[in-house]
Amino acid sequence: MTLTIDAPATGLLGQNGAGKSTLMKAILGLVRLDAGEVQVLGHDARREGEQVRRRIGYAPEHECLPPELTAADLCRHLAELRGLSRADAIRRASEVLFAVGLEEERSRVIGSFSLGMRQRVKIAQALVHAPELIILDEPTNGLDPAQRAEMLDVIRRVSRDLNVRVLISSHILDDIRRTCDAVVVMRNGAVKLARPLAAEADEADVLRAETVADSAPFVAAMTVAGLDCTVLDTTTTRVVIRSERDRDVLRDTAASTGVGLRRLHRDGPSIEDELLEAIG
Amino acid sequence: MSAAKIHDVRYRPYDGEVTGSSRRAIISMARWSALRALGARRPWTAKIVPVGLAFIALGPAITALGVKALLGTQVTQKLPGDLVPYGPYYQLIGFAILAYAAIVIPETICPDRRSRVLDLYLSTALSPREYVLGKIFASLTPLLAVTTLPLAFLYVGNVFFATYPLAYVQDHLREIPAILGGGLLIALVYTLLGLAIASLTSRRAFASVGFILLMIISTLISGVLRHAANLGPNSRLINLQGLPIWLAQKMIGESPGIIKDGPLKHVDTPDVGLLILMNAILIVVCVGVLVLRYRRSDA
Repeated sequence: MTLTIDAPATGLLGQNGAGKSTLMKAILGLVRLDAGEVQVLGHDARREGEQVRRRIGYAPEHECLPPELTAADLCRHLAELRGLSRADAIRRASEVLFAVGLEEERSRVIGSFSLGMRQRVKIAQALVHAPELIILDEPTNGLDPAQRAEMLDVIRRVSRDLNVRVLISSHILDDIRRTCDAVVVMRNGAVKLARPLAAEADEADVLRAETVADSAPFVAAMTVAGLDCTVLDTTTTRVVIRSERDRDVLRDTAASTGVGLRRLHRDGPSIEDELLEAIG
Repeated sequence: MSAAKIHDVRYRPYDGEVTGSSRRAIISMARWSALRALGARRPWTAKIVPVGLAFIALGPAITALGVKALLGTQVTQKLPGDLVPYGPYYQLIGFAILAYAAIVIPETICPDRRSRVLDLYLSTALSPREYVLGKIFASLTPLLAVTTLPLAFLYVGNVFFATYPLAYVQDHLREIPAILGGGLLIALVYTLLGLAIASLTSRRAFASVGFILLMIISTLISGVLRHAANLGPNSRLINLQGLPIWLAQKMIGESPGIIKDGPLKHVDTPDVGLLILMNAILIVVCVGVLVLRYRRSDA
């Protein structure tokens, strides 16, 4: 596979066993590659794994937190392991636990935490040494809807407010859509699709309007109003909507020309359709 | 009304120093692991075993010095030997040392595999070598206190109760490095052995039972060889229960005590050269097991 990941938040999407976790471990330099090259933040992950891991934070998918430690102690310990002084480790532990919404619980042992809180501790420890990139492997796995929504908020805040690049894996399309700027779809260990998600808005504005009567007066009026229209057949027209005003013009023109708007829908497959097809 | 927005998320990009210091990582791993094994920041039940064993190890020294304090130096000076000599002291506290290695050392390493924290550690810049070194220091330091502090305490007490303290120090100067060296040797061997066994399992109980069984089996085989094959003291070379202790005793010197029986009974031990060789082999084997268990591919 050949892949470049450079968006502020990128989602790795694919079914279980698609190769998402393996790709993440390859980025961290934790698996031996038979061939190929992985460049991470200017380092070769195969040969300079330690330098790569020093600049990256990682939250594994599985349970990996010591239940007898407090959240603050764990973050302190991992900060020290990553090269921070003891004083800095204490301060950073406090900051990252606040950032993930666990300030009140920082002195509680992790064993008493809910699954959602433990997932947030994983993100906190990944952030504690101020990495340039954090890798989150299935961070919403096993969470109930409320915990999942909170977790997605935290992840979005990390990339938007804290300016830390995020690479997140998930097999849930909605998680990726809500948190990421770009998506990479994997299937059977190969990249099936890689695209920005920001383009979704542009594509959503190409609509197909189906009218009851002949659409000629409707098309003429909309063209006069400045809308970009393409006649597909006598009752079907493709209309490009660039603003809310365009949408209003379309509605008002249909009413004023009396063509009878039978159906208005997005033209072509949606990004959701595209992603679902790629996931397989 | 203006739209207000909170910009302070109390998170600042960190611009302090992030060293790639291997020493700092090892010290951090050792400190946190030792604190956990000793029961720090945990319920009092977690502290009973390590603290209790440390007190048991101190027991003979406290008793010997207590007798001196009660009877006075006028009486104890007339005794034909020390109440508790330095060399055989390890025989008295052998149980505490072995129990410590069997119970406390697995606590430093087994939970990391059981709760899969090891994966998290190795996903940082921490290398398996640094991890293992940190665990060795975490286990060695408290065990060193068990093997060294009682004798050091006894030595200081003997100096205090001596009629001529400076003369006592002068006469027993050789014992100071021997006490430190012997304590270090015992602690190192049992630390590595305890860690090697504990590295084979994620369950503390299995590690403890494995350690105890190894001690019992090696003692039994040694006894069988001694009596059935008539191998003499050299049969004790495979007795892991005494291997480092006998070498430490030989380092300190086997000064006679006034009690000749029971746990202070004289034991015929193998030659020093053979003891050194067997201890070295044991250390190499244990290190080999640790290296194999913590290769990167095992993470």
